[in-house]
Amino acid sequence: MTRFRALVKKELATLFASPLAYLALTLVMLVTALIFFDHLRIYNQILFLYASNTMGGFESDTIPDHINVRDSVFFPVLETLGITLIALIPVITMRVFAEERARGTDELLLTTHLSPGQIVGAKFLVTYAFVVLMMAGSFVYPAMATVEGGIGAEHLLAVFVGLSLHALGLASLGLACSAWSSSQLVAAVASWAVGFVLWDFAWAGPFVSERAGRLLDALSMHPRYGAFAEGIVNLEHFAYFAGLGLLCAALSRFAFDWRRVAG
Amino acid sequence: MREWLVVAAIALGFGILASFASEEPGWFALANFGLAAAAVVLGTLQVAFRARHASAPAFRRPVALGLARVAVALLAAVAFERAVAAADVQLDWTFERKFQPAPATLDALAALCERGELDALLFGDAFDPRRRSTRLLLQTLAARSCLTFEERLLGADSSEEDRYGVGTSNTVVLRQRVSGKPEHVELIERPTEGALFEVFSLLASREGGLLWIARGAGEGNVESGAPTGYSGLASALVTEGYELHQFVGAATGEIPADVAAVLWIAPERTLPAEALAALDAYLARGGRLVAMLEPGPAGGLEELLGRWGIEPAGGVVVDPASATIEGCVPGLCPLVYAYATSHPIARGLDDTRMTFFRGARSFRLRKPDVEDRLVAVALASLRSWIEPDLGALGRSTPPVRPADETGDYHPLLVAGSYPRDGRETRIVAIGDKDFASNQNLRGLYNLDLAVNAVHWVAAREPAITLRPKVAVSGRMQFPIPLQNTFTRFQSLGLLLPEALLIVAALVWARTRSA
Repeated sequence: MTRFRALVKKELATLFASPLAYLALTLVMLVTALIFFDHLRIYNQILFLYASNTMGGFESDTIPDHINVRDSVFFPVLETLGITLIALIPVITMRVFAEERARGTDELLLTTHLSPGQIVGAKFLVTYAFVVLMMAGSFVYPAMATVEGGIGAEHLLAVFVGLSLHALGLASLGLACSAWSSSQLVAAVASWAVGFVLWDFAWAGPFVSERAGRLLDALSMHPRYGAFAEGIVNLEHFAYFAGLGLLCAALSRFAFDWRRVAG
Repeated sequence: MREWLVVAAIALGFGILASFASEEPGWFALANFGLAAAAVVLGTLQVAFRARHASAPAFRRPVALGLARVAVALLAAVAFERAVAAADVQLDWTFERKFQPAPATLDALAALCERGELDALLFGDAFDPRRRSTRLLLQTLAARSCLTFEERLLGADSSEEDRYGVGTSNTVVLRQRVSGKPEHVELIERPTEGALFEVFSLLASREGGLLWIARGAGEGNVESGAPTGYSGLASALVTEGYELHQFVGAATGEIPADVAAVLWIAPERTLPAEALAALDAYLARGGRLVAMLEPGPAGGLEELLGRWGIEPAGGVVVDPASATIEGCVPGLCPLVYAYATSHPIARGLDDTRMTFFRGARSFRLRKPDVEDRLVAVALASLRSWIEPDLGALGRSTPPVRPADETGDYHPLLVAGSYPRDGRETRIVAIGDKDFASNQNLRGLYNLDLAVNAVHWVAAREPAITLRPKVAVSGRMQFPIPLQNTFTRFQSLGLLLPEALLIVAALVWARTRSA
């Protein structure tokens, strides 16, 4: 356990000793703030236009149903950030295993009496913690703005829970890809490709039967985290992302065995 | 391997992008998918070639063990997800709690499921955001009943749309199939839970009995759609299965015994003695009455109710726990959160499910017979008192509490049951008529209190429930003050990333100097 803690500490130190971690945090927080503020601004303008007779708008009480915080702010923020995370998370995860392999330090790690499972566990734990920190940081400004407006803070929390699960799912994929490569670039491209494919299987619709289409839909990440935009927190989706994490951890663990065999 | 993987990833990415860009995958997308597949096959062959060492006996065990671990993890992940999905646990964090079906909706669905099959088709445009909410609502209802649910893209099958008359996106077609009867189809163009509930109730065609509604002496008009009218209440009662019949009190010598209940909404003029005698005789035969009374004279109903142990108090109830509603004198619109929850009328109501009244009177209860049961069902708060001067209703300032007035609970809705000769007379008296008018009926839980009172009086306790609330999307349409959020944007949205960027620069500089 002591060695495991030491490895976690080392991973944290490595992560925060690199400017990449801060850049990733900055980027996510900035993009979230900009997207959220921009949608909020447009939403307020449309609302004002509809509600203001003097501005030549429509009569009050005739604001269309679809102009509301959920559809005009929460949902677009979730969609845009969801896509952004597909591109961003691999940048964070690419180095985790691949760098060790490229430098040959993974062999050293194995000589410290840490089992491959513990090594994988520590790296997943630290990466997950970082992703959660990143999502929590990006949640601060939208939360403050929404709470001040007096509406939908709980709903916004659901949106960010969905986004965080999506980010954790992408991190799991990214770590698995990193574990199977010694090149950071290949790991990033592979995790980007797998994340993008798994994001939404709608593209496969024309090639498969309806039943297979439903199965692919159940495997897609987008319908899973997209449901959170409605304000519904379904434990089924938690289980999906937990299962994805478990599978990716097992694949990463297998990468150690495979390397011993195939080199 | 790695070069093939990169080629496959790039080809797949562009293939997917091309597919999303057009509805049907064109030659470009297909060519990219082919290239990706070929790259994956070549990469796999290369891996297999490299892994030929694995055929050596010394390496078989670790590889087999590793593969077994992955297989177990996959099985565990699928089993866990399926198990949690079967448990169907979901939390509703929407502002309006709109995905928690009201008990009334589920009751109506259960009644429909006992009769036969029910399915719903949701027609929608791919880009209609309302479709998501409706889909979730129908999925929620389908998970808790026999309802089956399918989604159709608008325009995909025009013959089906023509058959059901579907013209707009976000339309739901409900199809009820009962053996031995033709299929019953209902079209819902604004499928909120309330709209669905009304259709479920009508399809269930529950028999509520005949409800007589008095008119002719200035009573509330159930045909009027004005804010002060009662068409909303009438419509809700029809939805719940009642057949409404209006009668003129002065011209009615007798109320038939088979009438489920009589509804008397605050007569403004004095009722003829014959009308009161007919009502008295009906009640003596085990009749049922819901009477709404405004502060002041009540056309003679007060004497009749008094004989049944319900004595309307004079004056008007003043309650500091008053609703702040437009046109309401502060203190004179009691916000009711104290209920006799053991009484069926108040089933489901609690201190978070409030009702409100507009200028109400109270009652004193005195049992005429030891077997009788009189219950104050809804009460003004403990701090309320009675202002004897009815002129307070016309003033804009709240009445001043007298120095010697300590306050007390004051009943605003009372229910009495009177077993007589093997029959049971039931009376509900409500100290206000405005709480059930069109203007106020859909506010808070007023509709539930009003309709549940009629259900109890008509001995339909199983029908007592809480109905879906009108979606308060208006709250989700509040502007978020831009000036404040701009300040927050600068202080949190920009300052935090800036600080992090400075830290990143310092870390980078330190790394380079090291």
